[in-house]
Amino acid sequence: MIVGDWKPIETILDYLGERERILIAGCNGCVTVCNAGGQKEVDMLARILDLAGKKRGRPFHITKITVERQCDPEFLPELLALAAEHDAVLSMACGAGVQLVAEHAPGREVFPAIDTNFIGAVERKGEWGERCQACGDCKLFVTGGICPVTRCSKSLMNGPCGGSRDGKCEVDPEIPCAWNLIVDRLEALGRLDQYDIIQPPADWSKSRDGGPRKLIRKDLQ
Amino acid sequence: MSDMSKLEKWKGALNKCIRCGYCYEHCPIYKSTRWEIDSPRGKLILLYGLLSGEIEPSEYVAGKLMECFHCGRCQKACSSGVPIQDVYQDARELLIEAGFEVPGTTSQTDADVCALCLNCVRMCKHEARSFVDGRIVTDLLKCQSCGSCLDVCPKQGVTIGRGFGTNPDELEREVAAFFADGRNPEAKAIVFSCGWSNYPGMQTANYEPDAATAEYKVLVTVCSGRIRSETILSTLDAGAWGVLVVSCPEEDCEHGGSPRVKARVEALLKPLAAIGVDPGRVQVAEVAQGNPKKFLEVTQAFMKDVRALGPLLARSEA
Repeated sequence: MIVGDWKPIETILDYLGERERILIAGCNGCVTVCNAGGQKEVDMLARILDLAGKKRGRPFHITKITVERQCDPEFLPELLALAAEHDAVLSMACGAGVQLVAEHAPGREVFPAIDTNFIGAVERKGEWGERCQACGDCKLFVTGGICPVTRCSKSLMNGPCGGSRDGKCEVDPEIPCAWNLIVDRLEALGRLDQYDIIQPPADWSKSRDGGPRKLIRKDLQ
Repeated sequence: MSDMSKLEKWKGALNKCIRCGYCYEHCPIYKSTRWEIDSPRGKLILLYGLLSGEIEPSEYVAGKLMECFHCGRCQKACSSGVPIQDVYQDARELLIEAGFEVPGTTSQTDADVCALCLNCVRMCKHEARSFVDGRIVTDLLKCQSCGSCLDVCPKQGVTIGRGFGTNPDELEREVAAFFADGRNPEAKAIVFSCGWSNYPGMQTANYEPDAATAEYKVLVTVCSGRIRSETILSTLDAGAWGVLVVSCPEEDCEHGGSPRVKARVEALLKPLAAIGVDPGRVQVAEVAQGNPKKFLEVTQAFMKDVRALGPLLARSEA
């Protein structure tokens, strides 16, 4: 899922400035599941802004809405109708959601309330870890299901660097060395032969280096 | 249909109940309704009826047995040593086998609302929640009705049908009434208190001088982990100068609620500090079971802090 967390309240208050009528918009997608921008967080942010407004003697007028997904235009009409009645939209969706709302709300300022951090997985309760950088050229088949692009701090494709120490990365002793994980896993799978396959230079044109990407599926059009 | 005669093994235990009623004052359910049938004594009589065949198993009977916060105070207070919790648990199992699956005070998930985030499954110390056939289900026999799962749900999809004053909406109504204009001119704070650790002690010790009760209200929440972040914020928004959460010491909390509420308050203090709310206004204090003196001490210390800080909002803004 896409994982995010709250921006500092002082940053959000800076965005809002003198604006008084605020629509706080949550999303029932990834940010609900990672407890960053669903209905519960919309309620909490509304309470905090309400307190902030009252304390400064200039209350906010806050409306709340949480839609199924802010990254699908079909789920936006109610949100957009409300947006038209407010000075600004504070979106608690990921960056994709914030942008789609902004695209469909001309003349209305849309601010992000959360930072979108990464595509990740639950490692243990209350903890998420980055697992995918959406490079567009998945190599998991050859690395035992462990992504060197994401989990190696240097995104190395052919074994570890000299900074691998006792299974940990030199960047941070809390980070496991991705290549150590890969070799251990290939060994357990009896597929260490894969480690001998030299990966050619990666085709980064499929990643961000080719500019913003697009996917067209004519079968769905 | 299950055979209620399986309760036969508890006949001796049920006979031991001398109807003294010591269990009354310790039962949060009875304290809420004041009905005999909601007291441990009343429920034991109900079970005696099931055993003798004078009462038929029914949803009503199952409901009464499922309405329990598992604090065990009744058992501790029992003058005859009736193992009330064990008797209840066997009776529940038989009633469920007989098809009377009544949620009572256990937490349930609304499948239409649930985002399947699995937070509630992961955090339940009693392993009472699981993902089965595409939805979250509660094991009625494992759930201890602590309510720790209420706050972790991102969609308010976890609810407890019978809260007996401890559900978020019930607490928030009490808070709103306490701070309602003109009703309590001295009203300053809310003390949310774990029912396990403090409630019995609070009742047996006349600890609240009249002047103090005008200033703060104690709301019993069963486990402190039941307190949602939103409830703390809405209490401040309702006009409270401060909020104190009294929990069991971490190592004593059977539900994992105590460390959880501490983490929850810690997370709230950051944004609150950013909008100029002094951290002294939202505090957590640990009080071990049966220590009303400590409860009074921490409450008085908190009230001293809150009085020094003054109102958070002008009365008209709350």
